[in-house]
Amino acid sequence: MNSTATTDGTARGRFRGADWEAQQRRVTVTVLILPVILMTVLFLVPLGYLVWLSFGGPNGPNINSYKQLTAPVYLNLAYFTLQLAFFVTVACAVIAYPLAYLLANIESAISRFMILSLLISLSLSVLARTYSWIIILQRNGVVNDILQGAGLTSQPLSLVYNQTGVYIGMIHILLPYMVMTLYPTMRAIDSSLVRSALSLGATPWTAFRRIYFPLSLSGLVSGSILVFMMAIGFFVTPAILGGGQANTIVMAIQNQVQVLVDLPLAAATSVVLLLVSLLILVVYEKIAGVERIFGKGRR
Amino acid sequence: MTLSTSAASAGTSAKGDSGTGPTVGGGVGVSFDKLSKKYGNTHAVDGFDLTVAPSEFLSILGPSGSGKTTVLMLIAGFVSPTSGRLLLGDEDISRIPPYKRNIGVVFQNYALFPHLDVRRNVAFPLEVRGLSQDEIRRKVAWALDRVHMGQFADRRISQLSGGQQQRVALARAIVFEPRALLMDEPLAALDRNLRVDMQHEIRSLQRSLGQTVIYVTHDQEEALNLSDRVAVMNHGRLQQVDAPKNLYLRPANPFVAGFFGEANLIRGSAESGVFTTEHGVRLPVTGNVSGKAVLCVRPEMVVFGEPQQPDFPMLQGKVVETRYRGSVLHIVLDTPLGQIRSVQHINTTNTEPAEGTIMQFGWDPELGHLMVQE
Repeated sequence: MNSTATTDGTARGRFRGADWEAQQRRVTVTVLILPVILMTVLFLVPLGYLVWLSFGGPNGPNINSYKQLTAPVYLNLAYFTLQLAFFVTVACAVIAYPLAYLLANIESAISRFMILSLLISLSLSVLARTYSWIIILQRNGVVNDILQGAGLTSQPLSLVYNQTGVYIGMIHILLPYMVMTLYPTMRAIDSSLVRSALSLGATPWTAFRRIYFPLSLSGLVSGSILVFMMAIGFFVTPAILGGGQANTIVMAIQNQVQVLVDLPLAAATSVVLLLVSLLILVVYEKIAGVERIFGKGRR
Repeated sequence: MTLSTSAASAGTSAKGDSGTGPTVGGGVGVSFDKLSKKYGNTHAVDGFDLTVAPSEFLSILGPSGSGKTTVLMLIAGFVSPTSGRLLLGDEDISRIPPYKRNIGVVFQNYALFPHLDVRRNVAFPLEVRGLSQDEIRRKVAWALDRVHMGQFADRRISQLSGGQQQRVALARAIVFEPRALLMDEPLAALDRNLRVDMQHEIRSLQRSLGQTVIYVTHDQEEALNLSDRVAVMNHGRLQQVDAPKNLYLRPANPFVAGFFGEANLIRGSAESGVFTTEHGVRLPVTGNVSGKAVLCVRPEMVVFGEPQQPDFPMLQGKVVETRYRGSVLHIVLDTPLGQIRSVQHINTTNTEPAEGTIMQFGWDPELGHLMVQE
């Protein structure tokens, strides 16, 4: 009697299990249909069109546009763009690391307020933030008033409409992204690890260098990749604060579309930019992979 | 408090326990001298006075919020005392930073470095002390062997089970030959069987190293199993420091009595061998406590049936609840003393009494323990 009941139960259970799995599959497929269609229509099709256009479009296929890109003017633009992105990334990392450390390790109303203000600044329009830098940095702006008032300079410094302005603006706009990537990584580091290192005889500096920093490295690397990629493709801030002295590759694309009306050239430039970004992502994957086996690799 | 006397008597008994074998190398004593830690106006640790003998295994036991974690942090050096002194050997370490204390700490979650493999984890305390590669290799091999983890030296931490991680943490804490070993609920995350195994290993490791161990836990069974002496804490104060046996049979106060197993606590007053309950029932007792007192009767001391000795008082109670728990039968009685719980070992002669049955019960006055009521 008892055994019959058990077999019955198992059999029914198995049948229901199969039913449930099928149901799960149907739900998965249903839920995925919309995003797949959206991805195709909004990303894959335009991307295919872009690549097609870069190889001459209706007049192609040819690689004329890519040949044009090897001109010195474009190489210089690319060089400046990479340089700008690199230094902005380094500056963001150096400023964000101690900031994120404080936010992650100090539990107080102040740290919550600072995180909130970072989130708010992320949600503000980049355009508005860029224009406010003009007001701050211009010849009779706040910064120059203070510097002159304090007698540090006799003449107003030109802080905007040049590369200085672009650096200041871009570091300011991209800094929150670095902090926001570092912060969760640092929060995830168990504070007992540092305590444990101290109890084992490591000085605070050694504990940081040998334990905390290696564990926070993955956040620093992903933050840097994020900031670098955003910096390469940044348009608004260099265009407004650069005053024509900080032209980036993205501004060249705008020029190709609106002034030269050479769509294949603009498409080719975009494809190259895309490939560079992809390359960085691949390198990141490799570094992150290496980082995961860091302990073994170092020995 | 009654504390000073019981601590003193326990000191002698602990010496008897640990004096059985010769001490190998090993740790130094740890003394707490009126150590206190205040957070705002509340005492997390209040006037902690305790001496841990060299090579002694002492557990600090208390419920959560009793201040035992603060004691641990004070010893490790992550918290500074508000007043009092902490001595390691005869050196005052209360103001010495954690990395200069030379105390091995095993943390509750093991706190192994996830980016280093087993060997590098154990080597860490030696590397930061600047030992030679040769010496490091030798000592790491020694420590890993002691915890039977020699063949796992090249594993990553994430590849280890909880028990293996526990062993690595232990190896890392003993590898630099610390002056004392501090453990914070090291077995809390392990399953029951493994926990019992690890208790044995920790105990035998401590014995063979002659290491002084301070073991912080909220698990009575673990504390009783492992320790020479147990220091019971509640509300930031030491309640009793004693050998495991005395804590059960001779608790210093109702808190300790209730903390170790079940206890029938009967309030009343005592005078010259007679205890009068709040309801006026008079019972013979031993011990020379007078005034307000609490009588502690363990459930397994309660017997049923006819008196076995002439002056063995018997009372009547009505059965209100019975339940089987493994090999024992719990019976709850409604009596003139209030509710009395009893535990009977199950054998062929005893049967479960029906609810409402009136039963004769009593206990040997020698086995009742009288405590002063605070």
